[in-house]
Amino acid sequence: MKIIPLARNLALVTAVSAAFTACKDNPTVPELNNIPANILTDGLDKGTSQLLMTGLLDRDRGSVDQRYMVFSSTMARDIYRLDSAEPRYVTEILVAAPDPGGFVGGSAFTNFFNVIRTANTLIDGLPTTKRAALAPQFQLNDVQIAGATGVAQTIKAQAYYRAIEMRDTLGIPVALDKPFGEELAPFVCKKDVLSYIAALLDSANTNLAAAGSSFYFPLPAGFTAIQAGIDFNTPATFATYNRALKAKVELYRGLAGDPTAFARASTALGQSFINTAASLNVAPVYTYSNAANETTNPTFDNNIFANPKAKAGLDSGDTRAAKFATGTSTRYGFTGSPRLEATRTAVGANQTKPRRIISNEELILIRAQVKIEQGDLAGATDDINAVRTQYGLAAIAVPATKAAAITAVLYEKRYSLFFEGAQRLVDLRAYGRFNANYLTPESANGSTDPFVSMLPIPKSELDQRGGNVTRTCS
Amino acid sequence: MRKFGMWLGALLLTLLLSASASAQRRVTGRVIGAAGEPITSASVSVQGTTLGTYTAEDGRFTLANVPGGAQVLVVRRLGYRRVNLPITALQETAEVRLEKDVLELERQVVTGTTTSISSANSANSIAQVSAEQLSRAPAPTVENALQGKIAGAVISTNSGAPGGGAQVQLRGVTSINANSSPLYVVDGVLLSNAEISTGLNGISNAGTRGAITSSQDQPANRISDLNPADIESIEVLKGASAGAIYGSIAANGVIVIRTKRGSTGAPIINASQRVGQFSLSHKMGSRCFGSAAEADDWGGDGAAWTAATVKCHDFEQEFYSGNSPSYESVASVRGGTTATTYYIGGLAKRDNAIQPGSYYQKQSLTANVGQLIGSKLNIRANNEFVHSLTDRGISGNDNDDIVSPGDIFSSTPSYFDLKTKTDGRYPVNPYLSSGSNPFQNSELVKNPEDVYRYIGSLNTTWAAYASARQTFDVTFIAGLDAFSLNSKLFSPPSAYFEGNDGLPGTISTNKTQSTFANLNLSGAHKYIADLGTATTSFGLRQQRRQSDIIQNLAKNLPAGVTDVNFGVQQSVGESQFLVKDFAYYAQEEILALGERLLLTGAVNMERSSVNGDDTKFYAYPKAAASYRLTTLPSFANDLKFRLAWGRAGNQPGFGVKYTTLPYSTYSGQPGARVSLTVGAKDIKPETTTELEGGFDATMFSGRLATDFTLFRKVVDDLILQANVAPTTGFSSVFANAGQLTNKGVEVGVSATPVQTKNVTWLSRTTFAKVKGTITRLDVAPFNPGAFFSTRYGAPYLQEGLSVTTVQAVNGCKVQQASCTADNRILQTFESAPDFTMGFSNEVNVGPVRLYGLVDWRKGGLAVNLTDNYFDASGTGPDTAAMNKRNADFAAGKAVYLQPAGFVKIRELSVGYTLPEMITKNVLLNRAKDLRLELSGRNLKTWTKYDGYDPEVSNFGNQNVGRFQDVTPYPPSRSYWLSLNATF
Repeated sequence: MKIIPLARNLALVTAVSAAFTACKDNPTVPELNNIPANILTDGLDKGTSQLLMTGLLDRDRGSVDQRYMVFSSTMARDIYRLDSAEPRYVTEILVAAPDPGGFVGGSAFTNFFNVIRTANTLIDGLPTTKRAALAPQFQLNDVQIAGATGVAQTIKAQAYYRAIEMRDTLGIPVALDKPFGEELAPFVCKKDVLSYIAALLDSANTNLAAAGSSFYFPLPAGFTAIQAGIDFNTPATFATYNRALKAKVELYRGLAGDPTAFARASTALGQSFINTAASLNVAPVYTYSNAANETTNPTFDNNIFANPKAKAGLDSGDTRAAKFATGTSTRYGFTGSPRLEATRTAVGANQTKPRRIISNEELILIRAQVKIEQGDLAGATDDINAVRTQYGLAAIAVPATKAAAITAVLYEKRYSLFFEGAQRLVDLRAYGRFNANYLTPESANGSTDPFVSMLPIPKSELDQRGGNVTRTCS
Repeated sequence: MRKFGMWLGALLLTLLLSASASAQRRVTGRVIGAAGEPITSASVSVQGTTLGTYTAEDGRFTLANVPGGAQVLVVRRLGYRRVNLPITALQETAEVRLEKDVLELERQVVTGTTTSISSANSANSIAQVSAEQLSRAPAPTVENALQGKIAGAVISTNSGAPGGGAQVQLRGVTSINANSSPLYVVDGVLLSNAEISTGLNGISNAGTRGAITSSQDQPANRISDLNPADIESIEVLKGASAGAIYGSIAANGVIVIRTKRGSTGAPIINASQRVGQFSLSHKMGSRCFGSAAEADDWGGDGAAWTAATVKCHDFEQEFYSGNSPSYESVASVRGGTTATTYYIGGLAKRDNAIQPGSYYQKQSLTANVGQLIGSKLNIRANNEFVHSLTDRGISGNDNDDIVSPGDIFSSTPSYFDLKTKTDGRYPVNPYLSSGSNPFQNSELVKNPEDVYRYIGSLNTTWAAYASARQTFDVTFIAGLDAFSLNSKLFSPPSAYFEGNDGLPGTISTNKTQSTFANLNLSGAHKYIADLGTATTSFGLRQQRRQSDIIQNLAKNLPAGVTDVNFGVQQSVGESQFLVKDFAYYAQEEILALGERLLLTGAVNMERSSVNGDDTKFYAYPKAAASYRLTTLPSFANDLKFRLAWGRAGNQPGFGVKYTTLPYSTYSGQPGARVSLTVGAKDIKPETTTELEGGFDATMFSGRLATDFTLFRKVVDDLILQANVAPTTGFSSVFANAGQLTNKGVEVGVSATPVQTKNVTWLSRTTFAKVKGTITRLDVAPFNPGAFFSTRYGAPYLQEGLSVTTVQAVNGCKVQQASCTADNRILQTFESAPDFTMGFSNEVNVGPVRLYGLVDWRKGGLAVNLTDNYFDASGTGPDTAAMNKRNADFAAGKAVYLQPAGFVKIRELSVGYTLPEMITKNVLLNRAKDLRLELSGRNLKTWTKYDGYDPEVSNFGNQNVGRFQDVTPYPPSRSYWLSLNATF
C-alpha cells in the first residue's frame, strides 16, 4: 500500500523529467558578434579572399595610427600631443625614457605584426581557392592568385618597414610566417630586417608582373583615380608603388652601410611613379570616412600641436607655412616636464582628409638623397629645387659640401612631409643628426632630455622572451 | 523562510494522511515567550516522525496521533532558539517557553535547490544577514548594506556615484579572466549582475579614442536594482563546498536572497519614511598660490593671480555641494490565511548625490503570493517590478577634451573662478584647450539610464506522497529576470569642451534587453527512521541567459537636436550573448544520532554552450559532515565540528571558444582581419575545489557564539586571457593555463555581554584573512586585466607569487636623473589587505537603540593616479609633497603606489521607540511599533591613503587590478532621519 503510490508517483516524476529533458534545446551557440574564423579553416574562396584583402588594407591603414604618427614626430620634435589628462604623450619622450610597460613604450608595435599576420593568412590561404570542391565561379586562377599575393606581400613589407622605423637598432623578428603557438621567431638586427624587406618587395614585384592586367578584387578609393591618368589599381601601376617602397628601403640600407644599395635604389626609383613633371601630391592615399564602421583620420585631433620651433625654422615665403595653423596655445603646468608652447597644426584638418602613403614629392627627395650619396650633388640639387620651387621659394645653388646638401634635402623633407610619418625621425638617425647639435632639448625645470630616438620593445614582448631580447645579425 | 511553505504543505498533508492510521494519543499545549506572551506560528513536531503542526494565535497547539512511548517535541520559531522537550509516555499536555535568538543562531540554510537544513547542523560556514541587519542605515544598494557584515566578503564601492557600482569578492580572488561576480539567486531566480556602459567614452575618451564604450565608463552593476526593503534574509555561500549545487556558475560564491512573504494572521502593515542628505566625505584639496610670483613660476600666470578676487577657491566644496535632500519611502503589508499568504511591498526613493545633476531614483513593487491548493499542491508566485532612473554624471578617467571634474580641478589653478556666472554663463576655462568647465558640464551634459526590470518566480511544490515515516515532494521552479536598459548620453554643442575635437555635440544611446530564465524540476524524498532522517533529492536544471546591447554614437550635431540619427559621425555597435546550461543533480543528506550527525553527498553534472565541448557534462561533487558534540562542559551549550568539500566552476566568457575575424569597412567594401585575440576551441570551465573545516560553538546560555573556519580552495584550469608576444600578430590568447590556491581563516564572534530586562548589548565581530597564490602558471608571467602602466603599478601574474601582486617600477639600477627604461627595477608588491575585520555593536536601553558598524581593512595598496594628475599639473595642495613625488617619480620610484588600508564607520544609528501611549494615539489601537531613527553611512574614514577613497576602482568590477584610482566620483557620507511604523 505504501510502495504502490510511491512507485506511481515516481513514474509520474520520471515522465515529467523526460518531457523536461526532451524540450532542452541544442547546446550549440555560434559566435554572434563577429565573423567566425571557420572561413579560414575551411579554406578561402574568391569572396572570402576579397574580404581578407580589404581587411588587410584596412588594418594597414589602421596600423598607421595616431600614436605611430605622434610619437615618431614627437621624437623628431615636430609634433607634441598636449593632453593634461595624459602627460605621458610628451613626458615619456622628452623627459624620461618611454616605459615598455605603458602605452607609449607599447605603441606602434602590435598592429604592424597584426598586419603581417593577416597578410600571411591571406597569402597562405590563396592556394586553397583552387580546390575542386569550390564551384568554378568561387575559384581563383594562378594569375589572380599572383595579383593578390603581390599586393599582400607589398603591404606586409611596408608593415615590417614601419615596425623597424619605430624600433630601429632594437630589431624585430622577421620569420613570422608560422602557425600560432610555435616557438617565437628570433629578433634580427636592423640591417637584416631591411634586406628581408627588400627581398619581400622584390618577390611581390615578381608576383605583380605575373598578375595579368587587372586585379579580381577592388582596391580602396585611395588607389584609384589619383589624378587624371594616374592610379595604382592594376598590377602594373600597383608595382610602381611597390618600387617606391623598395627605393626607400634601399636608401636606408645604403645609409646603414651597404654602398651597393644606392644603385638598387636608383633602379627602383626609375620603376616607381616618380615624375618631376607631375604633381608633387601624386600618391596612393589612405581615405577616410565618418560613416558607421568606417575609420576617420586619426591625425584630426585638437590636442595635437606643432612645435613652434618647427614653424620658426621655415624659410620666409615658404608656402608650406599653411601646414601650421595661426595662433599659439600655451600649455600650463607639466611640472617636471617642458613647459611647452605649441602651435596648432593644420595637417589633420578634418576627419576625412586623406593621408599620403608615399608621395611623388617624397620620391623626388629620396632620389636627391640617393644622388648625394652617389656624389651627384648637382643632380640632387635639381631634385631639391624641383620640390622647393613649387612652394614659392627660390632655387638653391649646388651646395658646396655633402653635409650642406644633406641639410638642404632634410629641410625640404621636413616641411614637405610634415607630420606624415616617421621620415624625419629616420633621416635624423640615418645621418647621425639625432643629438643636441641638431635638435633643441625641451628640458625645463632642471630635467634632462634623454633624446629618445626609438620606442622600446614592449614589456608584453619581453615577458614572453624571458625579460630581454637578443638579436641575431648576419 | 523559503522552505516554510513547503513544510507547511508537507506537514498538513502528513496530518491528513495519518488521520486514517490507527489513533494513538493526543498532545496539546502552548508555546509562550519569556514574558509569558503567546507565540504564534511556532512549529511543533515529534522528533523522528513527519508529525507536526503550528501554534495558533493564542500559542496553543494540538498534535493528534502521537506515537506511544517517550517522545521528543521539537519546537521552533524564527527568531527564537529551538527547544527539544522530552515528553513521557503518558504526558498529554506541554508548555514550552522559547527564548529570543538574539544572536540569530537558528536559521534554515540552503543545501540544495529545494532542500535546507538548520544552521545548527550545517556543515558549511554560511553567513546570514537578516532584514533587521540590512536596514540599520539606508544603503544605496544591497551590496552596500552587506559591507563589513560578512567574514570573508570584501565588498568595495567602485566610486561615489549614485546608483551602485560595487564588487563583492568572497574568500579572495577566485578567477583572473572569467566572471568576477558571485552568483545572485533571488527566490530561485538566477540574476544578471551585468555592468552595462552608458557610453561615457563618447565624451571621456577614457578608453579607445572614438569608441562608443570602454571598460572605464563607471557603470553600475545591476544587482543594484533590488529593493533591500523586500529582503527577508541573505545567505552567503562563500565558496565551492557550499555552492557546488549551483555548478559552473558558483565558484565566486553564491548570494542567496529570500524576499519577504506573507504569514498567517491579520495584515501587518509596515511603513517607513526616510529623509537624508549626501555630502562630500573627503577632499583632495587644491594648491593655494601665495603670490603672483608663484603663479608666474607655475605657468607664467602671475597677472591672472593678481587679477583674481578670490585667491584660492575650494573647487570641491563649491562643486560637490548644494544637492537637495534625498528620500526613501517604503511600505508593505503582509498577512494571510492557512491557505493563502501574501506580501506586498513598495518603494520609492531618490538619492540626490553630491555632484550636481547626478541622482538615483528607484520605484519598486513586489507581490509575493502563496496558495495551498487542496492538500498537496502549494504554489508560490513572487513578483518584483523595479524601475530605476540614474544619472551618474561624468567622472573617472578621461582624455583629450577633459570632462571629468577631478581632472579639470587638477588642471585649473585655484585662483580661477569656475563657479561664478557672468552675463548668465559660466566662464570658459582658459587653462584647458577644451575650455571645459565642470559647472557648465553638469548643467548641460545628461546621461540618464532608465531600467525596467521584472524578477519573478513560480515555485510549485507537490506533496506527492507522505506517510508517518516518508514524504516525497516534487518541486518545480521557474524563474525569470528580464530587464530593458535605455540610456542616452546627451552632450550639446554648447558645452565648451564639445567643440574641442572639432565635432561639437555628442549623443550616445544604449538599448539593452537582457533575459535570464531558469527552470528547475526536483524531487525530494525524506525517510525518517529511528536512527535518523535521510533526504534524497535529485533534479534537473536548465538555464538560458540572453542579452543584446545595441549602441549608437553620433558626433557633430546641429544645436537643439536630441535624436541619435543626427550627427555627422555615426558609430553603431551591437553585442549579444546567449548561454544555455543544462544540469542534472542528485544529493543525499543524512541527519542521524538525534540530529547530531549530518552527512551529505551530492553531485551536479552540468554542460554549457560556452564550453569548448558543449555536449560534455562536467561533474561538480560535494561531500560534507558535521557533528554536534554530546558531552560538553557546563558553560557550553553546543559545539559542532564541520568539514565540507566541494567543487564549483566558473564558465568561460561568451565567445571565448571562438577565434574571430573582426569586421570593418574600407572605402565601402567589407573587410575582415585576423583578431588580436586567439580563441580557445577546447576551453573548459574553471573548477574550484574547496575544503573547509571548522567549528561553531554556543556558550553561556546562548550569550556567546563563535565560529571558526579554515579553508583551502584550489582553482584549476584557470581561464586566462594570457599575454602573447605581439610579434606573433596577436596580443592575447584564451587558455586554461594555471592554478590558483587560496587559503584563509574566518572567525566570527557574537555575544550579548549584557542582557537584562531593560538593557541589551549585542556585539558581533568578524575577522577574515585570505592569501591567494598562483601555484601553477602554464604561460609566461604577464600583466593581466586592465591597467595603465608598470610605472604606476599593474596587476601581475607569476607562479609562486600572490594573485593580488602589483608590479611597479621602483628605482633605478644605476642612479640617474631620469631613469631610462632598461635601467629600471621592476618590483612586486601586495595589493590585497592583510586581513579584514568588522565590528558591530547594538545597545538597547529601554526604548533607545544605539548601533554602530566599523569596517577595517588592514594593509594593501592602491595606485593613486588622481595624485599623479595634480602632481603633473603642479596643482596639488601640498607643494612640498608634490615636488617630492615628482622628483621621486622621475627617479623611477613607485610613488603612486600608496597604502590603502582603512577603518571606516560604515553605519551608525540611534533609534527611539515611542511609548505605547503615544503610539496608540497616532496609530490607533492597532499600533505595534513606532520608531524614530537617526542614522548615517560612511560617516568617517581613517586612512593613510592620499586619494579620495582606497575602495575605488577605475575599471569597475574586475578580479585583479581593482586598485586603480583616477579622478573618481568622490565618496560621500549620508545622514538620514527615519520614521518607521508597524501596525
